[in-house]
Amino acid sequence: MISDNISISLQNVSKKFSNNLNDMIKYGIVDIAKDIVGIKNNSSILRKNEFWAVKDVSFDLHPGDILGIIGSNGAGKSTLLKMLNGIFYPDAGMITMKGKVGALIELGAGFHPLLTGRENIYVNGSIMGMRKSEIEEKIDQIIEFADIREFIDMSVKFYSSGMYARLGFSIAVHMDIDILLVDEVLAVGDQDFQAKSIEYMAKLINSGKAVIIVSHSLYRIESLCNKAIWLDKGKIREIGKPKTVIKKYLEFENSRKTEIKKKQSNLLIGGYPITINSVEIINSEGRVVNNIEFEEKITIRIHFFSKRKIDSPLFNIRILNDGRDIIEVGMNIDGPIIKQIFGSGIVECKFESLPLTPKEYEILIWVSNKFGAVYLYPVSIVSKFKVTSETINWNKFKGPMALNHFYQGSPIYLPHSWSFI
Amino acid sequence: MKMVQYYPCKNARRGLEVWVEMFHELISIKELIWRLFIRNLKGKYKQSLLGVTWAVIMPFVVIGSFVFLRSAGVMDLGETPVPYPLYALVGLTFWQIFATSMVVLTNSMVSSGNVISKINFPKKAIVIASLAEVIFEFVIKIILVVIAFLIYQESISWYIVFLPIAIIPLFLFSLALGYQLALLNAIIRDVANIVTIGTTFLLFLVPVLYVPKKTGLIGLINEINPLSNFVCFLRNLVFGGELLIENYLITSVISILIFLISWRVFHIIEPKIAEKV
Repeated sequence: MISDNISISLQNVSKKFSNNLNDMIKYGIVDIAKDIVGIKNNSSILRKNEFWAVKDVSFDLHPGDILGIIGSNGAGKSTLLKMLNGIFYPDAGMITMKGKVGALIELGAGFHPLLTGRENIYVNGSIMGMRKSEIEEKIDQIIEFADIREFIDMSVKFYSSGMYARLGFSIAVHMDIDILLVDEVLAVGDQDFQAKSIEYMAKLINSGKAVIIVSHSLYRIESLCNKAIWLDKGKIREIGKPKTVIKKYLEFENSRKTEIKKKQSNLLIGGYPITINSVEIINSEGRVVNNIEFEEKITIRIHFFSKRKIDSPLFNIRILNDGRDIIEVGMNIDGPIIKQIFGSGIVECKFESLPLTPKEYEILIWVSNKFGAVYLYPVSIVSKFKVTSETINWNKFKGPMALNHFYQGSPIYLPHSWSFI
Repeated sequence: MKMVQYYPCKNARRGLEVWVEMFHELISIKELIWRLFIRNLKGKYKQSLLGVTWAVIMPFVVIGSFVFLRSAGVMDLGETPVPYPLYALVGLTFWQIFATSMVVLTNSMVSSGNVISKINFPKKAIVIASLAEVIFEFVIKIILVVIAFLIYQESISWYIVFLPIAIIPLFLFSLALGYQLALLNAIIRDVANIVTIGTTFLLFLVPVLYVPKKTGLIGLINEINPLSNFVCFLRNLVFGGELLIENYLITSVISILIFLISWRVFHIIEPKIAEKV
């Protein structure tokens, strides 16, 4: 038995699957036959073509806990959620849950297309375990929340996919539950409906229910949850505070992604022929800097290496602020300036005045062949710099515009003059 | 607060408590069965012109062709105590409880596969709701039978008051087979085809459209076949013929036992269906 203040408890929960259809049927029949006859299955051993989708997962949740589960595709998140929901039974271990379990997993599963929305509320509600009296009591709220009153007596096959999902969501959230399982469904419907959904989640969390959320949105996990699990190949890799778990997950994911990118670029014949060794920003005094003065004359200097002889390469520079493209200059527009390159070399681009306001910027470089059609060096961020200003106080005016979180001011500065006439 | 536990082979435990669980479950799912039944019924007839009339058209076609074969002298179907069409209609009405159940119940699980793999709910409700559909069609056909009796001006025996009880073992027998076929079909889809062919063939081994034979291989098959016992007994309840109570009771007891076993086996397998369907 589990102690009083625990609502979900998992002890070494494991689930295996077969990745071969014939074996799946064969093992299925054997296992069922053993169950019927009463022979104990040694289900903790893998047979040929079997793998652990979830392996030795243990954790406890208290009422009011919100657990986020993260992990890459195929990590076992959905399988774990299906086990918690009782759709799959574990092959080893034990799941104990106190209270009624509700699931926002597949919304509108079980809707009959020919039945009306109202009829489907009754059917779907009872499949999910609601009593008739409970449905009757809540049907008006359900219809109101889904915002489909005028369509409710129409066959659901005429519903838009948004309406369909909204109705499914609305039925699910009107159940009286103690534990909620959520799988990436909060992104249902338009913005108004999403706001309502988030509001519902907040209410549920405040009322002391235990919630488990599976999501690819790390931001959502971090903002909603007080606990997080990182699943990797069916096992718990990390468990704890969402911030720490997400940080470790991201570090791992990023290193894995660079690894994959490297492999993929090597797959292209010989990789890219040009490598960029370094990019320097040179100020008006001829020094290499990271910070430049507002409206300063600068040069961007690119040190490159070319593995083979390349005719008329086209070098291009883009300057970004906060992921937004601000300025693009390049030989793709101006035309080539060199007949051929081979080995190491330097190319420079001079700016008489950079019309950028004091912010941080990123330099992005790419090189194409003379037709502008093939990358010789892929688009990638190679350097960063900062514009500063001693003469102008850009933060002087802290009016309502400055308070607006999203308004960060224009990155482009156009020389101009004002006058009252 | 209600506590739920999931662990391997949970439903395969032995002992009386599992039976208690199963009975509790059966009671708790009656609303769900009703909803699924209504859903299936509405879904089936909403986009159809003739709707429930189809349940009645089928027997007419079969009986029509046998009346023709009989009057043309192609087949010797035996001397019937009442006009042949009436005899065949009553027999067929009972036979179709079994035959329709087999086809409908076998397909029930697969046609709900989508929900099964996404929502956790008692799958028995799906099979039972399909049986309810069969019972519904049976009731419609009973009305047809009454009309036929009025047309032929034959009288119905007072034995018919026992029909509502006497028919229960036939339903349980159908449900017992239906549970297992529904499961099998979820794993191997060929089952549905075999069942369709099988029931068509079985019709000729049971004295539905002819008078029970006393001699030969067919006589033996007629005698020991549980379906024969059901059909003959129920038919004689309607016509007031000779009731072979002993045969009927033995068949009924065996049917109830088979049903209990089948129910238990289904309960064991139920948690694994979502992975297979």
